[in-house]
Amino acid sequence: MFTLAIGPYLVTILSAAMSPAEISKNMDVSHLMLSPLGQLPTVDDRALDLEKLSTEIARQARVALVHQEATADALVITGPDAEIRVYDNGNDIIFSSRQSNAADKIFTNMPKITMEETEARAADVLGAADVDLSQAVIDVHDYAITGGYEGQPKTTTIIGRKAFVYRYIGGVEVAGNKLVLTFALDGRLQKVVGTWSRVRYSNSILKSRLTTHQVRNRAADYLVNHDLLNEENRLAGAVGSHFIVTPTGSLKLMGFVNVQTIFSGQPGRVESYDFEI
Amino acid sequence: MLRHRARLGIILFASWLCFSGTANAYPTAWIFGTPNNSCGQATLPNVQYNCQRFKDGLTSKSWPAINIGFYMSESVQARMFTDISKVSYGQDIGFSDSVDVMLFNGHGVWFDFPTVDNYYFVMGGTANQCTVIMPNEVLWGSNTRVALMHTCQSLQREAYQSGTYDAIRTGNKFKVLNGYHGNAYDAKSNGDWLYKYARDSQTAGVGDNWVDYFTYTVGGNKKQCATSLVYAPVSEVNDIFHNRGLNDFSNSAFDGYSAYYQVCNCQPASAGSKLTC
Repeated sequence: MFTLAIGPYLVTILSAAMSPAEISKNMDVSHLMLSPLGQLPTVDDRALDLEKLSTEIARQARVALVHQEATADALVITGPDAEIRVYDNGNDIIFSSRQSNAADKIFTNMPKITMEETEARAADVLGAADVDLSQAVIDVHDYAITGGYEGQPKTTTIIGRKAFVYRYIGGVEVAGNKLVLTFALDGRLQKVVGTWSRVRYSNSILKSRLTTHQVRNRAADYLVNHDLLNEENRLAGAVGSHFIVTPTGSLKLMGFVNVQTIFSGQPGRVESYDFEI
Repeated sequence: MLRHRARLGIILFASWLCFSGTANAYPTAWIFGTPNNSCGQATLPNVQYNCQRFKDGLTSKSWPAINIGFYMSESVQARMFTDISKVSYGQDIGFSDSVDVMLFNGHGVWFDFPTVDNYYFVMGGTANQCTVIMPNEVLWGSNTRVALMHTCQSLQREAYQSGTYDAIRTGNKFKVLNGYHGNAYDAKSNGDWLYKYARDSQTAGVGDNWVDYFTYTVGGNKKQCATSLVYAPVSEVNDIFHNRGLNDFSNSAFDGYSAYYQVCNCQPASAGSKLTC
């Protein structure tokens, strides 16, 4: 056994001969929470108020959304050059408006609203979608094109902003829940996509009965029992926890363990496995 | 009796015509995944599930299953991705360059060379060779319009700036290459996003949805930077990135311009610099 520093991680090369106890000693548990913090909601999430959401989106996108219909798998509200589509009983949302071809105009502008204003506009859309803002972590980024002709230098130009919204309940991330809102340089909303599950708290499993030590051991057992460390080019990485949303809409706290693959001596793909805690 | 048989024949012929017409109205997609390989690299246990989810997403919107090819592990060989004009055994026109949309899910790595950077992706079988090298061995565009490279470091900004992806395309058909700057996760959650990407991107968002769905900027140690490259005149790249889909192609002529879309300040968990803009 020997250790190897890869980026911010110190990981340990393991062999199949190692025991789960030896494996568990070196795991990074900084992302492990055995129970959420603070007071959690007791009332289930409300069903999406599509009228409120479409009104706010139409206002921010400066489009008309007028016609509503139910298709086989979604509710759809459409207007000229714009559409909102809601799948899975309100869990998956897609709003898109047709984007201008006027790339030359877009390429020469700079954002006219601040990062803070972008975040506030994103929060207004989330509020209209009945998102509990205390659960939303909004991370705003510029997005850009690096472009040019073959064989010539490429130049980078900012073309808009994206607000990535992640969900944390009591500080625990909800796996698979993410919304992305895209704004034009002038602050106009262009697009909303992602998944925000309607959670039923009543039958949720929010806490683990295990200790951190027991979770480490369970992660190591999982890796050994599933034969996931049988090759020299795989390393045990972080152990953490997150909520998954079950098919009935309740939350379940699950552990996850990452395995770092090594490819040509460099860190390759990270595999992530869930296990019961 | 004969009249009945004739009528039945007409109905069957009409059904065949109808089915053929429906199938042919849709583009073709081939999915290549390497959960296992004979090339000495780590297995990727989520790859088969994730490829299946992508296929499910396509068929959820009436993309005929008959138009989707599925190759896993040993059957994925270098001849399928290499071009005869570059490599003697190249048969891409019978495989990866024979369809409209191509997904590859496996290992990949970028090498920073003094002139043009190289990107290697790993095969499932050892026939021919274990890796395919961009740009030296790849030339897409005889038929392929969209290539989705769900591997680590498959669309590195440094490689784009060095000209790696200029030399992998030919003709006017090949429009979009989606991939990652830095490492990508092999997690079941990516499979769910692959399903949603395939479902939601058939008529719009071929580039933008990729960036939105597969970028993780915060959360645990998940830092995944999805990127997209569009080959088209400057006046059309934005239209293709936002408004075109896996089943809605642009027929614009290529004039040497390309645009690389990125989320600014995305810092991959490993194997890549922060995407400063």
